[in-house]
Amino acid sequence: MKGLLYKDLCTLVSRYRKNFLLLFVVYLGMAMLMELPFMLYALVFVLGLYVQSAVGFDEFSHWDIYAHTLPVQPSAIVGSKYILGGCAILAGCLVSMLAGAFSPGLINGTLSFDELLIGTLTAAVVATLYFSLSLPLTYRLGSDRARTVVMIVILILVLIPFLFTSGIVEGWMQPDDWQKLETTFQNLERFFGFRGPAVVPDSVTGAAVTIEAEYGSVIQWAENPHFWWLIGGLLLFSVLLFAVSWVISTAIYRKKQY
Amino acid sequence: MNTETCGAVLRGVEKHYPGFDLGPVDLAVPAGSIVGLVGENGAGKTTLLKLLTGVNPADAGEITLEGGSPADAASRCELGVVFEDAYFSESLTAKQIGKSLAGIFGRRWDGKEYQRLLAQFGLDSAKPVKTYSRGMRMKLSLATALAHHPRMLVLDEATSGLDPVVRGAILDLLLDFIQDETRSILISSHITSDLEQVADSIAYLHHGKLLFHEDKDVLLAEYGILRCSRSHLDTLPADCRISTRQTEFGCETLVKDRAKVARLLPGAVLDPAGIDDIMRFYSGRDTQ
Repeated sequence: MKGLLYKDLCTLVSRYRKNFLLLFVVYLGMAMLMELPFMLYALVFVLGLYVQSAVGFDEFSHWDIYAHTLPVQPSAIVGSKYILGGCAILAGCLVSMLAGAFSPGLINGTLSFDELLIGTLTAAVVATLYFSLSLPLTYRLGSDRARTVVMIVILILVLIPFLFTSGIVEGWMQPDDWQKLETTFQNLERFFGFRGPAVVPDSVTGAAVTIEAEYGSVIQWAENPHFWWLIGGLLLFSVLLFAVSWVISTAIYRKKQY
Repeated sequence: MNTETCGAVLRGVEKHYPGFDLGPVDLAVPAGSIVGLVGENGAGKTTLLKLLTGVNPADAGEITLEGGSPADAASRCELGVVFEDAYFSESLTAKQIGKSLAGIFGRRWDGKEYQRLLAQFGLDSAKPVKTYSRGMRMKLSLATALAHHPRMLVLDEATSGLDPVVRGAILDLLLDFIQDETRSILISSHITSDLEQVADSIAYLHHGKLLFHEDKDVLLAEYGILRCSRSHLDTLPADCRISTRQTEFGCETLVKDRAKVARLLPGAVLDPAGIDDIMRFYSGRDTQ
């Protein structure tokens, strides 16, 4: 495993050293100088992407054929990619948090630590989910075809919420059913802190007042403890999916013929 | 043949792909010997080598590699492989490749031997592989295949596209490798002159079937190219005639048991046949 990790790391460094340094400087520069913390979160995702391309390099040099003649198990060959991917995402998180801690936004108070943490963790979740989806597909279909399939899957995932927000799903459903669904969504949003309480006491009379307030700021979301449950749940889900993806990739790799 | 002293033994090995069937193949690679694997493009040489080295599993039959199965990592530890175009990424240096393989082979990896081989081959370990010539890459592949002291070497078209000097150096190294009589080599090549130079026996794979596996000296002594008229040819026993080509000057025939043919047709032109000739005639027999 040690040799495999070293090989992947050397391959990535030799291929992407300049590219990564440039990206690192630009992203970090934009995050720090232009107060765009989003660039730090993007860095987490990009680091995960780099590791995924190691599979493409293996494919190009027909490394897998050679690797099968070496005293290593398929689980180790696949495992090295997952370990490296996980480490890259963790390293991205560390860089994001460290850079964020010294960013002008955090120092000036325009960026809260909670926002930074939530942004970094969300980027880690997205990177892990992308990695977990794309790696088995890459092993199954090859890196070129896998990239297309992953893009289609992402498009579908983006389309699903669009179907709801654009009123398309509403048009397909009975008004009563849609109303029930909408209420369920609103309750969920309220539970996780994306929406304010449905009923608040009037500050003068103390009487219950019904309101509908959508919260648009991360700071507001973070005030609700359930929101942290959501972040934690997503993290746990992405780690579980990462593990499942590892098992599936290994199974695919074992069955592969060259 | 005592299969216990063999580096590799294949018994009834089969592999089936859409439009191509390999086997059943029976082949033994004795210790202390070099077996040359020849065959036309698409005959199944690489397929066979992939089965033997554990790249793909066989559909049927049994493969023994250094006393174990190619599926076992322990057996593959005894194996050194040079494939024509399956290797590390070209962006790595020989030094990085060595470090990576040291991590894979553990204590079996002999870093000093690797350095010695790189120096012997004149390879700069700090340069990326992409800056190497084809010959240098092959030498690097050989260095990585040898540095863990394997008991068996498998080479697939390792000398193709190389100049005679580099080929000569590689062939010398192969001869050195089997000197202690416990190690063995299976090498596939289209350059049959290389095999005539170093191989102890020749295995001929044709359309997925092993036509023969014979001692090279016996093979070269046994087969001949007979040039004579059709009427003279017809007097030969059928088992002597492998394949005949009709030319405007008469018949050109690949014959077996050259001494017998020379006795039966003392006036005919009978030349020794090389491996290339044997392959050409066997292949021509199928198209007739």
